[in-house]
Amino acid sequence: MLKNKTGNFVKSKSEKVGVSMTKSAKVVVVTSGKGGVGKTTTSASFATGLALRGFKTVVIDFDIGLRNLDLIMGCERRVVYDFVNVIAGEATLYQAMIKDKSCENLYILAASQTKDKDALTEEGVEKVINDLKKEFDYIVCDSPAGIEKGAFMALYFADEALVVTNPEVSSVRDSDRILGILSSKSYRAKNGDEKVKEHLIVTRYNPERVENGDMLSIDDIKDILRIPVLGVIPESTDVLQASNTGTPAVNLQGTNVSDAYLDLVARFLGEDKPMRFTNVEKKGLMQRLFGGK
Amino acid sequence: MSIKLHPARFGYYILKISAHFDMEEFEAKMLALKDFDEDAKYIALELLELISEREFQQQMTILDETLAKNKLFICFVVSNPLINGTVFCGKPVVNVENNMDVKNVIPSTKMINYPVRSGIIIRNDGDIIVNELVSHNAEVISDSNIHVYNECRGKLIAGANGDKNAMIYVQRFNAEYISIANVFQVIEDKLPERLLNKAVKIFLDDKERLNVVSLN
Repeated sequence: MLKNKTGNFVKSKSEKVGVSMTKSAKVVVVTSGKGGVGKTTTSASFATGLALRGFKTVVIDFDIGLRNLDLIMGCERRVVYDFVNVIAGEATLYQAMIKDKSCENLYILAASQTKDKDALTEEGVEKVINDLKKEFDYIVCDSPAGIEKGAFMALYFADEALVVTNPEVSSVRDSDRILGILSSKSYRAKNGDEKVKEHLIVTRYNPERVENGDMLSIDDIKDILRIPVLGVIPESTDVLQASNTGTPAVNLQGTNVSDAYLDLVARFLGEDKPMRFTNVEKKGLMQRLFGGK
Repeated sequence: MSIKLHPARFGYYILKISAHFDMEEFEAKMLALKDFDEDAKYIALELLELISEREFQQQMTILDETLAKNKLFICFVVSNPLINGTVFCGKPVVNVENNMDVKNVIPSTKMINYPVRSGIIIRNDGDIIVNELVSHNAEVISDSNIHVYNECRGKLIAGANGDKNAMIYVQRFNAEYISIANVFQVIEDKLPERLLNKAVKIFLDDKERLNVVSLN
């Protein structure tokens, strides 16, 4: 918050942008190709981060049949109707959307646990996304792993893409494949519109292991994928704890994972933040003696 | 009246047409062609009846307009005994039996200004010029030459139709597979220092061996 001349609080510039200026909704897909790299964790934290900035945000789970997002968001028991019910016309959007317990601008649209990915149709998904666009500033699509129908539907209507990758060869290679699909098979590519804006997110980054040569460095990954890095999320035990307790990692205040996700959201909104947690921290003498974390 | 479409080599379709054809039937045929092959572009026209150039000119204009709407165009007229001369209604007359003639008529260098990602295949009858990275497991396949003005880590296949004179040029060479006119080399091991990430040209010598030569 900033103070104006008379001493009253006014909204800072970025907060204003968040509340009033974005009328055209953006569809952001979180994808990777490979499984287990942190797509759902990133979707949950990214959507929460946007909502905390004052943007009305909905996050959709496209992993039909293996729903996880609701677990990580801690709303598993409140899922009555899901995304597939809405597509099939068995429920309205308002019945299916779940309001987040801690953040009032955030809604979740859960996947079905009983159906499979064939339940997603292009027309159905398009209609749901168009309806959501009228209400929300950001629609975050959590893609399943693989390049089958679920992943394809998740990225098809995207305006921007967050490509999540781990610092290891197979994950980076799969991300390369997904980037190829984004640039050739998405709605924008097929209709000759401006191409989908691509952002790279490196998760589970461990600077010590990079220094030892066990992991690919950020520069190695950039050299293969050649897209700008939006954020680097350090490897941390906090992430596992967060998902087990049903809290998005961004809400674990004071942890480096939370800080990294907040930085990532800030960069996504156009702010200039230096990269953190990418270099080995030099431990002080006291820390070394007493074994600080 | 007759409209027949035949796929031919080099990615063009032969449109066999009588002098007075039905417009609706023609449009339907073109739509069907686009359904069958959305990348279809080149049409070769073959006349089934004797007609003077002057009489056909008006029909040719209509044909050109309709085809343009479907992103198709007539690149040449197939030579047959009904046509005299080397030009018919402004289109070159080409003897299809002689493939080289056909190849010279098709203007088809493909320019790629985006990264060729893993799993993507770029295919063209003519030259291919890539200005961005060619990733691992990406394939660039040309019946003619390939130029990569960036790093190449993928597969390069030139002269795919058997052209032994095809060449490959790479700015930063780190390809995993190269082939010219079906003579191929899988590059399993790390390249020697004098070639790795260097500018190279690749060609077939007169004993049909693949040669990779540094340009530095």
